[in-house]
Amino acid sequence: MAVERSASRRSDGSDRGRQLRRKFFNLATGFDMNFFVLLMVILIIGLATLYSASHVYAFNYNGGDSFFYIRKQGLFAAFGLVAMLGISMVDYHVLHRFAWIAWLGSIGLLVLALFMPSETGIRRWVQVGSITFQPSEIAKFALVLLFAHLISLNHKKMKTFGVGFLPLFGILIVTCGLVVIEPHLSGTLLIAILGFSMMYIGGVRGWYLLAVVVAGVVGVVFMVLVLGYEQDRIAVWLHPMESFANEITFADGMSGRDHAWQTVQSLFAIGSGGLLGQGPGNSRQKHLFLPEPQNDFVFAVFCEEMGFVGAVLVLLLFALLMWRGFKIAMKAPDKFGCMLALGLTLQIGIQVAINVAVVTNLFPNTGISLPFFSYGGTSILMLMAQMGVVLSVSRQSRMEKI
Amino acid sequence: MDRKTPKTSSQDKEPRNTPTTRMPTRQMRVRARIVLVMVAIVFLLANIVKLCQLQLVESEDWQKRAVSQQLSDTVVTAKRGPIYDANMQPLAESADVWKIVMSPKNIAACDWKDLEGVDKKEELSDDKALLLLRKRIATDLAEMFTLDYDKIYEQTGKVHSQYEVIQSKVEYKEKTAFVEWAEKNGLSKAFYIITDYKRYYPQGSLASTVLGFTGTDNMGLEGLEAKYNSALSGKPGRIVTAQNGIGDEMPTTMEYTKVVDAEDGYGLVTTIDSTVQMYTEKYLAEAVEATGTLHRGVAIVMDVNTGAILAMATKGDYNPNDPFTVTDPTTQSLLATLAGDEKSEALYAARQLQWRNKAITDSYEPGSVFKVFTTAMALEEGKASEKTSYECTNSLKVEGWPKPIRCHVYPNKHGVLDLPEAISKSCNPYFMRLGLDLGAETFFKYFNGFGFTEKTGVDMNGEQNNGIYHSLKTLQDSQASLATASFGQTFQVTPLQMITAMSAVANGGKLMTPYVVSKVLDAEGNVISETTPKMKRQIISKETSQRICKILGDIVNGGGSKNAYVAGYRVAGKTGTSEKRATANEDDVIASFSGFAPADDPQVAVLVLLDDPQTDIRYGGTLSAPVAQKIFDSILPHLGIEPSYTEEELSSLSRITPDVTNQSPAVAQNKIANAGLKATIVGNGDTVVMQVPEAGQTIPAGGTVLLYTETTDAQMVTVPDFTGLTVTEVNARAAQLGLNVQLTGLVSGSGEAALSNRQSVKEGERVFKGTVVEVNFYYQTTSE
Repeated sequence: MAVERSASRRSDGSDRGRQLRRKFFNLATGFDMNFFVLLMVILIIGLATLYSASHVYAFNYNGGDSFFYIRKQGLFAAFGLVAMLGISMVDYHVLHRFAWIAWLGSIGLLVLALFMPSETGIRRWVQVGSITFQPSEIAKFALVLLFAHLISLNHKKMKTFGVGFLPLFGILIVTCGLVVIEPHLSGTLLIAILGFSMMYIGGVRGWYLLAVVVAGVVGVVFMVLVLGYEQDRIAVWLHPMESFANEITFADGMSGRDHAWQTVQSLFAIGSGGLLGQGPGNSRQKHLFLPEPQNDFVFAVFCEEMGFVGAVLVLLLFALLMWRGFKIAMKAPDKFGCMLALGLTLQIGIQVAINVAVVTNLFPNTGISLPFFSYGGTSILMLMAQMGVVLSVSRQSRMEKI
Repeated sequence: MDRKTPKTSSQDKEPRNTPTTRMPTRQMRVRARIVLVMVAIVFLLANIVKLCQLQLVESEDWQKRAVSQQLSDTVVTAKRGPIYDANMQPLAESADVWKIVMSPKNIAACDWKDLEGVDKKEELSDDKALLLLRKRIATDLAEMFTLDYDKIYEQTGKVHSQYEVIQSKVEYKEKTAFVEWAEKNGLSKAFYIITDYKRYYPQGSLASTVLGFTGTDNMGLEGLEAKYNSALSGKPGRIVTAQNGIGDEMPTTMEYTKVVDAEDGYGLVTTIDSTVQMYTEKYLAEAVEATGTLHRGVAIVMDVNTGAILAMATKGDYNPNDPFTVTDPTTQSLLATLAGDEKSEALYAARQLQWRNKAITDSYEPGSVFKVFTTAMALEEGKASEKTSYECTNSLKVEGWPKPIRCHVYPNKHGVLDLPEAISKSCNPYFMRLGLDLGAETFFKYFNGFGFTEKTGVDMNGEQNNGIYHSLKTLQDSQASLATASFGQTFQVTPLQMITAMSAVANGGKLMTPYVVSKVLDAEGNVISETTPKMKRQIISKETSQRICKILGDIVNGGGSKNAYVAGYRVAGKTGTSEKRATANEDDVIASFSGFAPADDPQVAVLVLLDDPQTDIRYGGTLSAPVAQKIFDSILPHLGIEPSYTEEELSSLSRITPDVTNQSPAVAQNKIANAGLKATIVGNGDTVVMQVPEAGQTIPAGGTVLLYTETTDAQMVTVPDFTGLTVTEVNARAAQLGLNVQLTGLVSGSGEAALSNRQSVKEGERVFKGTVVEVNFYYQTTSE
């Protein structure tokens, strides 16, 4: 086995070497190398893509500094890596203590965000000094943590309404409620799917959830079709080219071209990629056609440069990461670890899925970032830290780790 | 809660004894799998299917759309080819001008500065500064190019547009000023300057109805510009460059530039001779003005042997450099009184009219000029000869017409005439008789043969063939039609048809296809194609042609067309004064002359037509023949056609006075004598201090030059009224006063009937003795 090989090769190492081996390369005490390597590959591809996508935009709009975004992102990714490795060495059970505090804190930040000054009326960010971050990023993690905590704690009563369903549902409603009024639709959707998935896996009665989901879907359909919410967004979604050609009138008076600009530019980019892509660095759409290519639509630039093959490869990498995270969860020593690893893995998977769906216009453009690819310092830091938690769980999972 | 945090370094593989230490249940594992599979299917798989659609199935469409916005495609205008006259004098040329195009999309990205009223860009939010900048641009540009502020301001706001035309056809000076302005304000990125061309016509209105003009888009709208538009315009080129989202160039690694050079248009060499055209227009315009001709005049000069058009003029015409300005002063003043729709309609009509090349688009009843062709038919068919005589009894009764058809001298009569006399006196009954003798079939065969039933096929725009003529059947059925057609009434031809047919009579019977473009040249001047003169058919024999030339030449040199007489050249031709049957007023006529020279070896044909002159005497012989005479007089030497003088002409030839000042009286006298002039010495000085006329003046042979040896006693005389006199009377009066008289209009003393009508020095002016006074004569034609 690989473990034995590595052990035999390093048999004459120092004490510190032995310590490191035990921490990282030991069947019993090391973390899951597969998950870690997959993560590193995704992170490197993500950073490379971010640089490729952002340097033109940065050069033009950040005072000629092509490295503006990649420098910050790289720095945060480095911090994140350190944080991840550090957290991976901490027993995740310690998180039990922080479950409620973290969630309450995240709720506090979400409320705070609503009171931050905003020119656009969108209140998703909290600014502390020079650092700006999205509390919903924290809320996602806090929710996963709290649900894992509660499910592991109340495992036997999960089928009940009063203990199994109601508190979790309440927590979810409060969280989603605060996110939806930011407004941040895709964030809400992500948290909702994540919450329901965890409740379902945790043992809440299926039909409770089904009833709520059906009610939710009916509610959304009602709001859209009868009350006419989000008509403009849906018009762009269903008729992007017609909107782009100004053949559709929009309620807010803005031109269809402006409404559909980002979506259509993204489609231009993805479609231009074809099977094998324009080659690394050769995106044309990033040359100020695609607005803010470093953010939510970074994947469109990746698709243009790397083609269908590259895009599928990245999706498969994410799928593998999920599969590995799932494996870690299944082999976790306890329900808390299991739920924690599952929740955090699912969060990545769902976010990737929604982001790609938005970029390809499979889903309306609601503003959601691509994990490890999109620019965002706190976002990458949080993501890495969360992956540290998964790795921490993996240390105790009974599985092959190399 | 009783939870115990285990040590992180624990090697214990057993679950800990806490509420959370239990393994995930089977249900959790199953449900986790379900969720995982759902996420995988619903999201990842759906995304891959969507990517398939976008990147594999529809890839080409998307790429096309993307490329269309990533490439900037600029059209490069091709330089329109020049039009030259026969001697390579430019008649139409293209000069560089510029088009200024704004890219509003780039305004915000400009590194603009010096914004009036704004000290620093930072002081304002970008939006507000941009608003001010837009206003500033609109204000400056509106002032610079005299444009509407609101329109430009609106253009500056089209943030997605990269192509808003500000001004076309900007001249070099304005362009330079604009570039300076853009650079000074740091706005160069927001504008393009595209090279364009502007058409101009260096000789102004010369040959305007032939040349036509171009519209603002460099498309030929009229005349040769329209006819040869595709050859002249060339092929526009393109510059395709990769551009980024704000219209800037892509970085060098992405650079993509494809240049398709514009192919400059071909040049045209025309048969128009600027000098001939200039004289033709000058004399025609003078006549149109002098006679108050209502519906414009036409003159054409054609090379009889090739059909090449040396000049083609319509007056009034227009200046192709400014084709939309109405030139006719009467119409101008009429337009000034109108408003609204009425005005725009009238303006439209007036423009259409002045652009119209009357020589090929309007038809007229040729009248007596047509008698030339009836003569040709009769001679060719042997139905008549020069000796054929017929008695004119002032009218002829023709079957199918209620009243006898009168001769133009009615109630007088011509009496017995032979053919040359009949042409000279333009006797209508003679030609009616001739036509009836020929018969409908023969008449129509030649009528057709001379090209009066078809377009000439000239390479010009808008040639008409209105088809107003008698069909063979009508001629067969109606003797009256045949009879009247025989002297040129009851049908119509275009001036070009007429001169082409007249050329055929002159050139030995060959009907040529007239043409105006002799060569097409490429941009380097290589000949692309060359027009070879095309003969349509031989209509009459060379012999018949020569016989007619002689008859017609004799007329001009003593008959009804003698106002077309040109000393040194035997001109052949026929006048015509035809009724305008289309108009209500019976007095409306067309006065025309069509002839050629030299009569014994025809080279050049001239047609002059005045449509509805307003003088008291409206005969073609009075009004049009003198125009033709002046044209012949000016162009024949220019065209290198050698004059051949008769002895009589030689003796009366004009002389040029030599310069004899500062010479001794004896030497001077000798020189003057050698020049064929007489000298009178005034005073007793040793040298000639002044001579009258001065050196270089034209005076008749035998005229007197006064040589003053002292200036003190210069002899002055008062110029008398020379008008209304015969040649003899004028000469006598001039000799009496010691003035020299230069006779114009006609020179040979061929008849007392010629009267003077103009003099170059006004009556009552005091002049030196010996001064030359030009006196113009005309024949008071009574024919027709």
